[in-house]
Amino acid sequence: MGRFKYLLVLALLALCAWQIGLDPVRIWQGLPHMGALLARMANPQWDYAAQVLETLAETLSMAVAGALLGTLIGLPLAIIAARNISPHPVLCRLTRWLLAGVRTIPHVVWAALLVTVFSIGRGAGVLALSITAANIVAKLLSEYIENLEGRQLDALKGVGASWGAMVVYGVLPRIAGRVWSLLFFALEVNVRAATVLGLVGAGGIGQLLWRDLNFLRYDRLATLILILFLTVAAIDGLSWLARKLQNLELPGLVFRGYKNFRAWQWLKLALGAVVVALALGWSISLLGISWDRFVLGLKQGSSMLGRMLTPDWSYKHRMLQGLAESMYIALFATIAGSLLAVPAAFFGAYNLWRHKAWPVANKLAVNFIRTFPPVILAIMFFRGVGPGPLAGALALTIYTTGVLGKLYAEIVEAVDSRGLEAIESTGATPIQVWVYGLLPRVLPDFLAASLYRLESNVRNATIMGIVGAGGIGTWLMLNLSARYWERVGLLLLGMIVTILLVDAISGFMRRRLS
Amino acid sequence: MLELRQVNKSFPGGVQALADVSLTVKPGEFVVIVGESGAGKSTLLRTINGLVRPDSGEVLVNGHNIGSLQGKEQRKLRRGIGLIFQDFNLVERSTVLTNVLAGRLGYNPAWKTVLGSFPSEDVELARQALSRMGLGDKIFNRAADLSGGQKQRVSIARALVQQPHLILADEPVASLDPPTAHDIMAWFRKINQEEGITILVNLHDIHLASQYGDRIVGMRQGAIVYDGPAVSVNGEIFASIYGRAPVGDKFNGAL
Repeated sequence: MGRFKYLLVLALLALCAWQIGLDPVRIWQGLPHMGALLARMANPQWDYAAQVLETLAETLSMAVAGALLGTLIGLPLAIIAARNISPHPVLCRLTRWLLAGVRTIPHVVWAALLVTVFSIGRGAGVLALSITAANIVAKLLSEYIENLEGRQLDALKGVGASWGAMVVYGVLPRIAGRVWSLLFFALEVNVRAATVLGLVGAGGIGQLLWRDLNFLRYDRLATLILILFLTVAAIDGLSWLARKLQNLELPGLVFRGYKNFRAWQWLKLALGAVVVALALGWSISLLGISWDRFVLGLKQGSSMLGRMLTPDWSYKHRMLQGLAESMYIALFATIAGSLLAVPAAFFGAYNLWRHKAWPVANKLAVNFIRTFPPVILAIMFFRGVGPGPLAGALALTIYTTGVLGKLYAEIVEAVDSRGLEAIESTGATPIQVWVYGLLPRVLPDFLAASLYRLESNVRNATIMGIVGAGGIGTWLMLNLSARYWERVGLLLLGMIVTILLVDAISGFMRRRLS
Repeated sequence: MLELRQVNKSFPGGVQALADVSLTVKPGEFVVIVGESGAGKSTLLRTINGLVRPDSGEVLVNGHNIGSLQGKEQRKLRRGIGLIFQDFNLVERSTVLTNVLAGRLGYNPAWKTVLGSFPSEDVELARQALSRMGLGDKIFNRAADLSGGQKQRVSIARALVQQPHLILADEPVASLDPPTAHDIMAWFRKINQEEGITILVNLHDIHLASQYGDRIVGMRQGAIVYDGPAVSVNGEIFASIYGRAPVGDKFNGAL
């Protein structure tokens, strides 16, 4: 049965490879072109870089505003959605459904929809980023709150505290550090997302990307991608620093009396309120949507939604074809990426190597790969294999290898080293230690990580078509720009059902693993 | 006055945590509940302040059936019952004072407390409780900076400012080293004797139990198998609680 399962996975990989048109000769012949693109990155056009900087600033401000708004919206949603502290079970369930529903629509699609409602520009982009960031924060934070020891809340329930007092005294102090790190996690996600929002007209650097792609200006594209890479890397570094800062032990304050202590509490409260107000004010001003425009947008949005809710079923052939292609891309990338990530994790785990040079070099490489958003990687593959599902699948494979390489290495590092020493002491070579000592122990965790990745890859594969890298996104973009809402509605319906289905199957398999 | 009448409680998975438990505790008593882990001791305490709702039977605290109370009424009854845990359950990031003032949350309106505002009498109460527990110089320290024994004394202070008539302690010394464990148990005895607060303590160690408790209640598989004075616990009773004979001449039943 065990062997059979692996054969099944390999057969699936082969089927996907055939369906996306994997052609080693074509890839081989394309390599020089991609090499030329990379060589150009080493030789950036500085005069073009200056032009890029202005839109880069806009992209960054969109990402920051989206992360701030998302965190501010996500925090109360998380408290309502957490089963152990939610003010009401019905409210809790409704919020969880809402979050799960919103999560099925990728950020670029949100941006594309919001652009048609609130006009072209960064406002739609900021809104789309806020929606996805709020969802990430609410989901991860509510899971975190649910994992708080039940007894920690019992202590306050036991003194007869009201719900509000329990949140303020029992929950908020315990999640403060987590909220801070989620803010920066949302920022990292947003920066990657913000670079592609311009492709659908939602502001930022993606607009330049789109233009250069359409005019086949690969020289400029190379410069642009280099700048994006540096920006994403810089934000990741900044975010890492900010999260480290949270662990910093502040020297304990000494208070002369209760009055001083209260004054300090008020100061903290006031400072917090000012910071939140400023963040909120700045983010909303960045939206650049006036109240009248907002109301108008809501009107347009509801008529648009009305047409989407009466889907054009005669279009179902295209929908199924697009969905199948997206699924082939996602499955190929997940399986191939998982296989490639195993050696990457082997070379990247600190606890397997006496000399730390290997893992350090490997971790740098893996993080380098992870920095490119998949859609940008797909554009780079266009140069080698042309637009289409193959470029999308290869791009997503590389991105998956990067993400899973990192996760797998962390799983290996979490393995208790004593068990490894026991095998090593029998005189086993490192490869034998890996195969007999490690793989059987880490395999369930590897599979769980891969299943999570599959869920995320299905979402990624649905948006690949926005730049022409295959899948249902191709037809979605076509009908979005034609404002053919009945067809958009059908395509979105198909996407949502597929994503929910994949999530359910993957969740079921993950539960079986643990 | 505390009375349990034929209380039953099962958890999903078929585990019967409480099997037809009846128990009467008079005001000012010091009762130690012993038994293996999983015998239902925690569930018993959690039923008494309403954190667990029994499937059947009644739990009467000062004549009120705590299981039938809701919302405000339930909170009012709970604030008169102090609760102590094995792992202290303090908010580590907050100051010692804030942790103790949390014991007054049930007495103050929510909108005031969420801004950190407590009446000056409450602050004085917290101060007194802390200096009584020997922590007068730690009130503005972060709870995270204290030792295990100090943390447990903070949680006793939190219970004291509730001005409770009853304190429930669930394995209060299981995370502490033996000298500190004795120190904490001595505090419970002192509070019991000086203020007449009724105390129910869960312990898995019958040796410690017979040293501090006046009355021992032995539980096994959710049922009370012994209820009587600490001095009359013998090897036979030990075996009925733990399902095996004691090792050696003492009840070295520290599990």
